[in-house]
Amino acid sequence: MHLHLATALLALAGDTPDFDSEVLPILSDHCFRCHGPDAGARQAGLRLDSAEAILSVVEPGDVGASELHSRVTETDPEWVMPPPDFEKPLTADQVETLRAWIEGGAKWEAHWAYQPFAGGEGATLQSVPDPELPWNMDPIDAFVLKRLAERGLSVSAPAEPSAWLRRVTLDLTGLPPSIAELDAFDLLTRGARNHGELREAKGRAVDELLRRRSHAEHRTREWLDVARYADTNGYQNDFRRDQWPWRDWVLEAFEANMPYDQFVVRQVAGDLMEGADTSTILGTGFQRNHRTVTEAGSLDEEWRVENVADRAETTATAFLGLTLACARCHDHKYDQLTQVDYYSFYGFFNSIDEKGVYQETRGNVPPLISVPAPDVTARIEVLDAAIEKLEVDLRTLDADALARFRKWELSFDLLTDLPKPPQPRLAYSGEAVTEDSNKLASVMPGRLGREAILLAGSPESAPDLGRAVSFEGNRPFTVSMWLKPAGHGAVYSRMVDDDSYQGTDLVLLKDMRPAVHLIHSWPGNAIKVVGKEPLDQDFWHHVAVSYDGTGKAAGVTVYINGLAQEVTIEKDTLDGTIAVDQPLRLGTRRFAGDLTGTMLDFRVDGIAFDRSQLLLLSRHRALHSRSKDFFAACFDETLRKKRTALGGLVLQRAHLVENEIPTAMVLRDRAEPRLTYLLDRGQYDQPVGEPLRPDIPAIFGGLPAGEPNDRLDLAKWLVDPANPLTARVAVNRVWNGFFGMGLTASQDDFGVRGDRPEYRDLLDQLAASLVESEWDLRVIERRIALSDVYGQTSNCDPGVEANDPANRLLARGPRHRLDAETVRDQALAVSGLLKPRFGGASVKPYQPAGLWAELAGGAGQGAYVPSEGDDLFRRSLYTYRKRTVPHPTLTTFDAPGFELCTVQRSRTNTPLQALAVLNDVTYVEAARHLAKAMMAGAAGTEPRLTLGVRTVLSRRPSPEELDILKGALARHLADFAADPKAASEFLSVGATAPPGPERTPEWAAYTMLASTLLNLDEAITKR
Amino acid sequence: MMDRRHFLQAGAVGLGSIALSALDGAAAAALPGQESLGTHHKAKAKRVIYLFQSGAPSQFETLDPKPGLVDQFGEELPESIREGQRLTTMTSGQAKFPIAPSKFGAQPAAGSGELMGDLMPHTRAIADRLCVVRSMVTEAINHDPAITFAQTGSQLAGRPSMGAWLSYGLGSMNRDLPTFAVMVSTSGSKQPLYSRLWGSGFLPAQHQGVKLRGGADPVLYLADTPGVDRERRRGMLDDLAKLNGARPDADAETRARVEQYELAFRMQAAVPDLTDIASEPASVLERYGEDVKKPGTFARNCLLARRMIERDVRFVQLYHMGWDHHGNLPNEITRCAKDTDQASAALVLDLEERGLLEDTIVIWGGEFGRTVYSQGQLTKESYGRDHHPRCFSIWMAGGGFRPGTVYGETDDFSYNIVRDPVHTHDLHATILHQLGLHHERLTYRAQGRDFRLTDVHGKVVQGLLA
Repeated sequence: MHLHLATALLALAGDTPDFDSEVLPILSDHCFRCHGPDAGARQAGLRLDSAEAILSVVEPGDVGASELHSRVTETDPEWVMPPPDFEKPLTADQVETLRAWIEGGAKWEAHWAYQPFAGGEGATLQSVPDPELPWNMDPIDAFVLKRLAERGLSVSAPAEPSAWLRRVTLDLTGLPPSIAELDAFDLLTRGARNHGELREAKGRAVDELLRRRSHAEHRTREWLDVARYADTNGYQNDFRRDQWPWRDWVLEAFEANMPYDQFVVRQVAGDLMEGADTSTILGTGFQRNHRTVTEAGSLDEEWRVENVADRAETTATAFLGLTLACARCHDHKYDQLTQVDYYSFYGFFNSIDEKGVYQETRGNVPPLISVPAPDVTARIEVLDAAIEKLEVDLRTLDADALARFRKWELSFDLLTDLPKPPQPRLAYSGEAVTEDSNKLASVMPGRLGREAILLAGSPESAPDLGRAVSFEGNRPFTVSMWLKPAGHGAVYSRMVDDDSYQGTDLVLLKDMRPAVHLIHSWPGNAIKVVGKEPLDQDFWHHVAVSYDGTGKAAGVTVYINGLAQEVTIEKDTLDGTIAVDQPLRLGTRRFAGDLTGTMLDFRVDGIAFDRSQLLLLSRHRALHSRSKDFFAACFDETLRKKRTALGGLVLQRAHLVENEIPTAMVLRDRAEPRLTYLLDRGQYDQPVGEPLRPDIPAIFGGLPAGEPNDRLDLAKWLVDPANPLTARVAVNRVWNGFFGMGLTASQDDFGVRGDRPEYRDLLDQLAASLVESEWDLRVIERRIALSDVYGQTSNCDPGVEANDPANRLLARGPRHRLDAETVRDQALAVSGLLKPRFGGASVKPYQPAGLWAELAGGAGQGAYVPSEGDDLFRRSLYTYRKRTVPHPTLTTFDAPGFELCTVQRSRTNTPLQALAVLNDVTYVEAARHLAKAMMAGAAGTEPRLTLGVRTVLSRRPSPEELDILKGALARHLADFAADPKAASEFLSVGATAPPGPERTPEWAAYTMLASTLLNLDEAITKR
Repeated sequence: MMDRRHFLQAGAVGLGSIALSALDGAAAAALPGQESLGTHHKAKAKRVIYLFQSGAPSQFETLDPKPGLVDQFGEELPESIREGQRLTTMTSGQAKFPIAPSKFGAQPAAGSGELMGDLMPHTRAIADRLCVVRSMVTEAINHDPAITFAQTGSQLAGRPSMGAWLSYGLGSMNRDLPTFAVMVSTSGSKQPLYSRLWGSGFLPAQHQGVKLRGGADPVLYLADTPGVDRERRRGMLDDLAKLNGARPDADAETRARVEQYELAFRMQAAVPDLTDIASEPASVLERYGEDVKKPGTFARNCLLARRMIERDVRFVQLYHMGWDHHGNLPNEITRCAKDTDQASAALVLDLEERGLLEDTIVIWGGEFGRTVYSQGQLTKESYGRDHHPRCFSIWMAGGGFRPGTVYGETDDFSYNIVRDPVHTHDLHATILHQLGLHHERLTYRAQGRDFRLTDVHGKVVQGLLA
């Protein structure tokens, strides 16, 4: 990018062309494809990409003896270089540049970005004080003034203080200044008696902005592009993931002004650092933000390789500005990066303890880390204490249980006192199924071991009770048993194994609560009830499901230990048979998990038992066994109460851990590192040659000997002051945040085909200063924000713009359209709707209905359900990022799709943008609130209009603008007064719509005007 | 300072400084109403309709029938045919690979006389207009990478889709509608799509496809908000233009913003005009079939595609979801065929009657083929087919593609290609060729590389061309 312009500008500089900025781009663009670093593509064995190699065709100082020159000036199509079919002929100017370079001695230099920072002059550059131009003389200003003077160009006037405040507030926080801030700054600057005092006022403003949380939010938003952060897994299924704890880690890092070197090290190797803790490990979530395959049938290794490649390439782009990806299939065509370099770098990320395919898996996939919020940790501690106390109580009670059991036992006369339990329709006690016979009669104390039905936790071992008993939706039944579960899973089932799930079952959910299904067809035609109390693992319970045959969920009762459970009804729409041609099975059901544990006295009865009948059944076993356990379960009241209480607390704790302790995906290496091979043509199943040791690209000299060459070594090298790239890339990104373009325009490519910075010296000075400041990014931000280069007006002479449309020479202030997020956030801010909550799970603002569902059910997530209340009005940083269906207005305003690392957004101008700001409920609602603020905040037409303009544009309207606005307002007032229905409709959109009677034509007219202001080119442009 | 006169007289649509940098000095043609970068040779076609059949239709039941397989029902597919080709993990664990002949018949088609399946009677009846390719080959074996590959020339995310490349390379031919339009329909699919497929990748975002939807608001935010009628909107846009022009620094960029608002205003009329089919005669509706009366169906989308082509939309991309038939194939493919066959044929005929077929390329096809062997249980009544990237069938019509032909040939099991393979890259190269573009010269620099739709591959397949 910009090569043409850069070349043209620099050609003015002197007779001997600069090698790196003028000659190397010609060689790399026109020659390296066949005579460059890629050994596989090399023609005639000739290389032109190194000082030594090029001497075979170049004689320094002697053009006539240089074959390079004769070949590029050749007219015979057989001989001329580049060959015509390459379709990249050299221009006459380029040939002349090569000639002049050879004549001037053919001096070869290493590529600028791989060299140490240019030293010397940068830090000390001073300009002659000029009373006419009271600039600050930060080196930024000095460099620019010097360069402009060399060109015979001059700087632009300083921007109006209010314009500067809007600009710097947008650039540092992504939000506009409030009227109060404008007023306060106005007061300060008007009081300033000289440039120094003005600078002091600006300095205070910048310092205050840098401390705001909105600053951290804005910088985080930028970093998320680089980090390809999203809230879904991507690829076809695109299931939800919860990676926002990592996003909050970034927020906190920026809020705390974490030094950039630490920021880098934590995101590359936070898990390997000495003293690694939750916070440092969480940083490595950066490396897990890549997409994850869940599509059935995918090949694991193919996609694991893809994960590793994504990490390697993202790391190279994000921190080094290297186009390493180009060397994945073959040596790089232009830069000195070989395929071996690629896979050596890839090797750093190849030993993560992960899979390539998590088939049809929803949510986060390992390695994971739990990230509890402090208040949740505190609640868990409280619960743990209560649980421990109950456990102690229970142990005490348990010690006396035998005595209570004996006493209870003796209260019955076993022979005469007790009615016999009724005849079951089916009974099973581990030996054989007996139908219509009273198997219970043979249940005798002391035979427990033989009769116990052992549930082994596998479908093969699950008892099959045949088809004798059928369940019908219109007939009552009771299924009962003694159960001692060792975990969760299906208790019994009689159910088909296709997706209708027709039949009935009882399952213990993951949290051990019992759930009963009666299903004709899942999920539309079924009953589901879930008991509120969990069963205790490894304790005996008497469990019964009784159903009255009414076809209603209310007819289902779940009894635990003879007590009817409070239940939650989750489905109550049964209509149709639940009878199926499948056997009744114990301990198993498709997709419910197979139960392990012990069961006794399983029986099915053809009536709906009540509590007294069930107590009779349970008492039978309790009395006839010699174990106090059955007594304790059903009849030891004190113990039972405590156990129920304990079960409740354990469940509460489990839910807290499950639902309120988010996890994040992070890095963890396997115990045994994987061997890394070069992959032929980048293909996962084509390893070649000997294993490669993880290493940095050879051109940077390799890692020092004696280190393990793990990710931590990589991270340390990344932030080693001797590394020429990391600091340059970082300050270039910061610069981009202010000027809309880096000092090197190709932020993603610091290689030989990348953009030559117009101000390399300045870039290097800033990079050196970042390192010197111990990687304090705010030092750089502050310097740029307070520089007079940045402080210039963007409202410049047309000639200046025509000569330098991209503003590479910096003879004027920055001006460009706001980023997607800022367009929306500004509208929310100026209307007072913005809710400033910091961090937390992503939210779902307004989005036209149906967008997710149209793409086949939202790729695994169903419909988009907008958030409610404050979450509709959070900053766009927090907008839920679904990779396969990104939020439409973000995409419309050029936000990336968050699938891959993006370091530079395009900035387009389309009719879809116009439609969005005109009609999206976000902006219509914002206009209504802004209108209200205008009407409430001032009296009289002109003050109200002025207030609106100041709120949106941070400046007062000109008389001409006021005239236009007044005319428009008068027209709207008359129009809506004549059509109150339209006025009412216009004021009716959004979650905060006022009730009908409040919707006045006047409010509608002001809303129309506010909408006009929000749609102004100036409103969505930073100037 | 730029004065008002300067603003009002600024000539061609201006470009933001960033957009210019993104275009790398190429013709300043980035806005809708945009100019072409220029063709490389004389174009045979100007527009494209891609009827993408997402999920991958089986070639056995449609364009590459193998009636001889009936005699081998349930026999094991010979190892010599499989040649250790990789399988998805959905069938790689299968102990047997029993041959599943198509349950449906096939008849010779008009023109070529080659067999086409009974499931597609309408398409078969117009086969003399079609260029059928039975020897398509692709690289990926799972949907996501394979669809992405078919649409962007790369299995990996981040590359521009074909429509975006054409928007970038050829520009727009109309002033009121998107250059690249996308419509989606389904036969009840569990296989989702993703907006990346019509994304612009690293190209500037205005080249991305604009999705037209079935409901009242065919383009997002197109309908004015309640209470704002056309007259109010017009008045507001006039105010907006005046205020934008009143800025002392109003310039070409400001003017471009105003033009986008004007284009939006025109779209608000042009799109409803496009999607309102009230003026279509009954005979035309009948040709597309009963479904055409329901918005959001494939048939309606085909009719809208024709209406877009009439209005010089450059690239119309349809997706029909539902072709992923791992099991219960006979029932499900019948439904997909019913939903798509008649309307696809009607579209070709309709274009032909209007003289639009000759310079419009119509493409029908999915992301890969399916296996000859049954996935899961094979019975006389039912079977399934797994993914098969080694060969699949598509058809094209118009735009200088050779009508009434069948190109390429597969073996008796439609497992391997025995003659004239056409790689997806080749198809892309050939389509670009017909549009006047050399696939090696339509490039865009990103991350230090000059990217192409065809990556570093692709050749124009002359055998497909008239």
